[in-house]
Amino acid sequence: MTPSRNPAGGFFPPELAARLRERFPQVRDAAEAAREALEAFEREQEERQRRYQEEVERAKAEGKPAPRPPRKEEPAVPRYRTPTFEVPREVFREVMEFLRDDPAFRMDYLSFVSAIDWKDRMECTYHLWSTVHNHELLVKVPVDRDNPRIPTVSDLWRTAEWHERETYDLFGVVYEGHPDLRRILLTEDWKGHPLRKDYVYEDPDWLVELARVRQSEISGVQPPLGERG
Amino acid sequence: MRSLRTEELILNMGPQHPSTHGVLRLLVTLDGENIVEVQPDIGYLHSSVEKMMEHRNYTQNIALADRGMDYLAALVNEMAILRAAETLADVPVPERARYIRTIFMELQRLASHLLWLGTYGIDLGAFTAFLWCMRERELIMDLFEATTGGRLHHVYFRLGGVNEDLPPGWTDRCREFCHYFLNRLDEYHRLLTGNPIWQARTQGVGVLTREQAIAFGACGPVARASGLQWDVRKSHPYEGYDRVDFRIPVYTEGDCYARYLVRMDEMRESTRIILQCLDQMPDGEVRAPRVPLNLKVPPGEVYTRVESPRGDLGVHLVSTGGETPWRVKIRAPSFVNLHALTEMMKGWKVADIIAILGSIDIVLADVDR
Repeated sequence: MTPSRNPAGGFFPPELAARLRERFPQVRDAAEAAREALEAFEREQEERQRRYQEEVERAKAEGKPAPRPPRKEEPAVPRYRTPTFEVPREVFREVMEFLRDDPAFRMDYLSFVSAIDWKDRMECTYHLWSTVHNHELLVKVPVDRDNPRIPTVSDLWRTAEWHERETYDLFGVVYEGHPDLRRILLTEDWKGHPLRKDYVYEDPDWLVELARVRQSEISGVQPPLGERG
Repeated sequence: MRSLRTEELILNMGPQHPSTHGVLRLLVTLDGENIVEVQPDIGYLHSSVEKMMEHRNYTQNIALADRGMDYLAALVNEMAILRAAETLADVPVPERARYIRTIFMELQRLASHLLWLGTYGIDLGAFTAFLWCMRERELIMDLFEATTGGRLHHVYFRLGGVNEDLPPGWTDRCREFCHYFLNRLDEYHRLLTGNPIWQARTQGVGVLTREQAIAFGACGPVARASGLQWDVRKSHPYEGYDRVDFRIPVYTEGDCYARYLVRMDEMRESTRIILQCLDQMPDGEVRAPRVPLNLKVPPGEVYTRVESPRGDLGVHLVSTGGETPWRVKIRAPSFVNLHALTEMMKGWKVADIIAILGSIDIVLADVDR
């Protein structure tokens, strides 16, 4: 591998991005969408500035005091420092296979599989990297938050087996076709999926019972014989 | 002759076992003495660092990353969080601070590899290695303590630099240590590299091919011992790494011995990096002015990586513009390397479990997070 001056968030060649979108028109480049939104924001700011100038001149002509200049606003457009592509669920498998197998892309290394809970929607995230070309991208797939299901990629990259189990454990995303989908970090009887934004922790029953018995022991009030732990 | 009835035996190893270096349980399926399958059972140290990070600001998250993840490479964890936050928020970092960070991360790598070498030595019955490695590691701990005040958990890096400048005389002490350590490294080689017992236990054992390493997402010394020439310090340079000259050690055998050699070579390269940084380091500020402690990171997403002693440590940071991140995904190198272990172990004898498990150098706090 040649030493490179890759930007911190990674690099994906624009010509390959164009090829990907040509092959799959449904795929959306998040950074490009953000760029368009930013341009629209700047156009709007210019328009506002122009209107303000007109008002100033009108006020001058009518002899009134000049109006206040408009407040400077920061654009609320997200920054995508890592090349990010939004892929609909219908073509997701096809896109992943294409990215892995096409010689120009050769994204043979899957860094991680995860998800983001946006409260109103959910996105599955995948980070792919090429050991051959050293380019990388993030793939984001919107899924139904109430019933998150997505096809597995563990047959394409073995490493996805554990990552998908982790995401299932912490987010409740069901990976269809996964060979062994069960909890990995938490215990099998755990309730809920902790990384979801609406998760509320509840002590398990045995812990509540244990605490009750200990508390009564400390306070000297013995529970009835039949209830002792 | 009546044939004997045979069946597979499931051996439970851990969660309390001296050779698992943490709380790991292995379910080993044995056919006689041969390993059929290994299923690691993890999660005993799970503390949901990712969830906790969503409720803390970025300065607090530095301390959390320091403690909650890989406790043998605390400074590299701090850098992982910082790299993501600084990239997304465009925080400037003074040149001197970049060099100081590089020096400390490499010292951390030395300390981590030394601990690995010592404990791996004990795993394989070489007690001397442990005593020697601990002796050198203590000197690194002293260097840490003199600057950061901490030995394991430092919280030394800050948004836009480091907490404070190096104390007077520190660079000379560090340089002295590096020259001393290079001699010691030759001693380790004399002790272990040509040792017939060491070679018999590690050579050809637990082979992971290059294709398997890529498929399992193996990283760090494990991937480099399998012939994958890849180091985040070269492929995505950060801090001072594009300004110093160093080599990525690569071996193609993919066995435990190759993993040992990669780490030994890495220690030499790390020492070279430290010496070069000490020579090149400019004077000046160590912390960018006007970076608030409760920095608001603009909305957006970024995935950045750093090279931890165990491999590619990635952070996917999602911000909605607040003081706390919306979502932090930590891609832990030990997690993927432990998954690759299931493939490495297949077909080896029960006595090789310890040799193979020790060679991938996992930290369970990093696996479970």
